[in-house]
Amino acid sequence: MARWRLKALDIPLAVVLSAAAVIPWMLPGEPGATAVVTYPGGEVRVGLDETRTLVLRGPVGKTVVRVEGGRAWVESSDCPQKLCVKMGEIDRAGEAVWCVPNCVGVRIEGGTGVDAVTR
Amino acid sequence: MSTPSPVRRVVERYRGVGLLALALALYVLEGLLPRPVPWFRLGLSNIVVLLVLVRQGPLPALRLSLVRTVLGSLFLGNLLTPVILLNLAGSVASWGAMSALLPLYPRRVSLVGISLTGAAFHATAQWATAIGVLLPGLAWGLLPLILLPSLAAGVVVGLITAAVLPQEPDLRVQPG
Repeated sequence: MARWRLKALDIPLAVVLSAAAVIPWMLPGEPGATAVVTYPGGEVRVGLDETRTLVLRGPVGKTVVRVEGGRAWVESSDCPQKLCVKMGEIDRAGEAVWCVPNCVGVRIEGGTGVDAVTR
Repeated sequence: MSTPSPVRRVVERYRGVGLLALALALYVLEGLLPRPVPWFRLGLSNIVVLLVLVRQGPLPALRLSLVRTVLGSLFLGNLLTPVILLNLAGSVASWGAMSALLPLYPRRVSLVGISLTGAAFHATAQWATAIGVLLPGLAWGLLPLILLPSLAAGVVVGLITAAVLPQEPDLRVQPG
């Protein structure tokens, strides 16, 4: 049985390919057009060009979602971990922030409102 | 070197078929195992492809790879489906990348380096073909989820290949 030994180009190859592999995650997405806020009572659509503050009630309490300056984010929430607040702002189509305990979510839809069209 | 024994001659002549059978067995077996992610396989049959690549050259490796893919999909049941296009594209792309690295072997690149490059090109070509031919709406954004495990699989395949690679050819074994 032969043993394997590291050669000069192995690590550079691995690094370059790994970096190239991650590129799709770094591309800017399509700019969003509408923030769709989902909560136990239904859905609210807010254009990203609007400025609104939504106070939504869910099983654990209150979640405040703000839309302003073309971005949307969770301002505050009554959930224990507040991961939704820590997620920060979203503005690109396909992005979303969810407060799972409180069943409240914000997602951004792009211009046409669909992710893909088959031919 | 004395004349090889009749047994050895037969073994030598059918060596190619034997390697193909091995590659095919690995490919089909992997295809039949239940997998957490349906698309993802370790690519163990590429051990054989890599072996043939470094020991016999690019053309024998391509032949092996293509026949393995076609026959394998016959046994797995996707011969006449669009899926085979993905696998063929992946096989050709990975073969191309690995063959391109071949001159650098064994000094500058090891079997693991070749193998992980092949794995990366295989996955990417499959994805691109899937987007182009099957699902035009498929997002490129999911590719990293496939690519990174593919690189890991490539490393594993490379290590196994290195472990089973017979000693370098300048050791002549006397036929006996």
